[in-house]
Amino acid sequence: MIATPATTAPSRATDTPSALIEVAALERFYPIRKGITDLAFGKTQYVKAVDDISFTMKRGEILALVGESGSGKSTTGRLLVRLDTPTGGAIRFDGTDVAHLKGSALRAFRRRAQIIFQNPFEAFDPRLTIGASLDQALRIHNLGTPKEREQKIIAALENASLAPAREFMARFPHELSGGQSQRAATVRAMLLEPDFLVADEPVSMLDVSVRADILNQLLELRDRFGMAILFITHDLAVARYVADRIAVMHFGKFVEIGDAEQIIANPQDPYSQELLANTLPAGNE
Amino acid sequence: MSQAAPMDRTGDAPLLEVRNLTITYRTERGYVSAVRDVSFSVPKGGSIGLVGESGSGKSTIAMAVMRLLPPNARVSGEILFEGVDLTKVDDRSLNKQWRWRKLSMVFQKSLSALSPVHRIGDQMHDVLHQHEPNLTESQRREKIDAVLNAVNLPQRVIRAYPFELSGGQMQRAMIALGLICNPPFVIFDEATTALDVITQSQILNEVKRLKQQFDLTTMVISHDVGVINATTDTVAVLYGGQLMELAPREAFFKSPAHPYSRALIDSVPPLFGPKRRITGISGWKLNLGDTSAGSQLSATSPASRGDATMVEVAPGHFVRAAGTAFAQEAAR
Repeated sequence: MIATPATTAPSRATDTPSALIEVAALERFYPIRKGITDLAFGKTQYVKAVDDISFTMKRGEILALVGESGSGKSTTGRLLVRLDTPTGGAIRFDGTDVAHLKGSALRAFRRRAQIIFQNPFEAFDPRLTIGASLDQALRIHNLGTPKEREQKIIAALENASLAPAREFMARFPHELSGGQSQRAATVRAMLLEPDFLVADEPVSMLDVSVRADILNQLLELRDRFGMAILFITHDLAVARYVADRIAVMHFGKFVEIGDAEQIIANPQDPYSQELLANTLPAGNE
Repeated sequence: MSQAAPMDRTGDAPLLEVRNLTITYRTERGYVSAVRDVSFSVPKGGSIGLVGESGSGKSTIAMAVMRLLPPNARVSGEILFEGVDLTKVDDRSLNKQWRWRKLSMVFQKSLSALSPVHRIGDQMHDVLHQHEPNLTESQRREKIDAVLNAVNLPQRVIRAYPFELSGGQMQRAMIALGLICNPPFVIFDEATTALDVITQSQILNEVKRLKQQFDLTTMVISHDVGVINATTDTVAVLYGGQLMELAPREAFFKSPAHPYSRALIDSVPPLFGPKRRITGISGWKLNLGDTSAGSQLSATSPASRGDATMVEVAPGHFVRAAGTAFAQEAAR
């Protein structure tokens, strides 16, 4: 898999019931820089952002990662698409350990694992048009001729109701609303038809009125392409809406993982219970 | 109903009464209407929630009450606070008597609302120095200690710079700053929006407690119906600068009368109960630069306010009638 040239399609056809992603004892420790005396006498201290987490994800499954700020949710997401490198543990993706990939093998992996971020306004290069940014995603992986790339982008934009597509391609990021920008970022992530998508708080900066559109777009994409989605959020109601399973994270560890409805209806861990108790009812229950 | 603001039913004079407030911005491309003919009142000890999307005019109303609008804003209508029309108060007495002492505001982005280069304690001293110049140094210290205690912040925060605090601590510092001159009225503008659920719920509980403790009247601005549900007793729904619905909280959440209110409540996934598909309300796009709306604004005679009809569907529950600008918008 590692040596697969970028031009051949990834082996998505093999639809095995086995897990797409297997995370085992994953760790990301950040060293804290201390004074000179600590260097001489003390041990290096670490912030344990991700501390010994293990889970698996199947194709087409949506796992929501919930927890408060600083619980390690985003670090986990970044590790899984290898924007960061773990300090311990393994990430098996389709049978291959990707935890320490480098160079072209890493690039080949990234084509299959994409991420969308919280702030849609920082997701695009402000000096490039949306069309140019989307084209770049395909060009980096040497996919298609310019003509083919353009057709693919147009089709993808129109699918995401960013029509007329040509008009959107000519726009700059600042000319898009938050909702449009987040939809365009999702389009960019999906252009490569990844097997795995990390969505890091994709709606928390958006107006309530457009949140539903983004969530429904992700659900539709999952149904159509069957990719696995790690959905990071601090909102349990949103987690319940999109996810099949929910993992509750606290101080870098999973305190609970299970069926979404089960976790909401009957949380077992005291921290999950606290999280649930602090979620404001929207008044529409 | 008449043009006057719906009065509170207790018979007391309201602490804040907004009457026919209209705010227009003059821009290079013509007039943009931000707020159109909005009327409501808040009794002493009450709490009103303004809810709506970005651009609905909710923050503009708050800025008008605080008299913080930019110079290109044109304001008509009245903002009566304890019977005095704040739109006519001169800048000098505004600073001497009103801002901070009578009304204060807790802003959305505490990181940009606080000065990054001054310690929290110094910023509090500054406000006291400006607005309560007669206090002695030790009295000021006492006041600062008291408000920090009230919002559960440790004393060391006095010496801290904003960047040294967490998001929740910074928001608490903002609230402490808002309370420092003991104002009877405080506006919370998306005060907990950037915080995670646990911190948000802690701070909202503190706000409720402070409301009791200091006998505050509050205005809460949020796009989150959950926050409005948790902190207010009256809900005002804004869309395109206009009031769509004004109702007691229980009545609003039990039976929202306006289609837009329903859409707003239904755009949020429920935490409990049956799972159902939620829908966005992005189809109802605003065009604030609409010149026809802008031209309406320049006229202030009551006769020109053709779309100002709100109907009382239950005691204290007002809804914008059909056949108005909104209904046409929704039909599009």
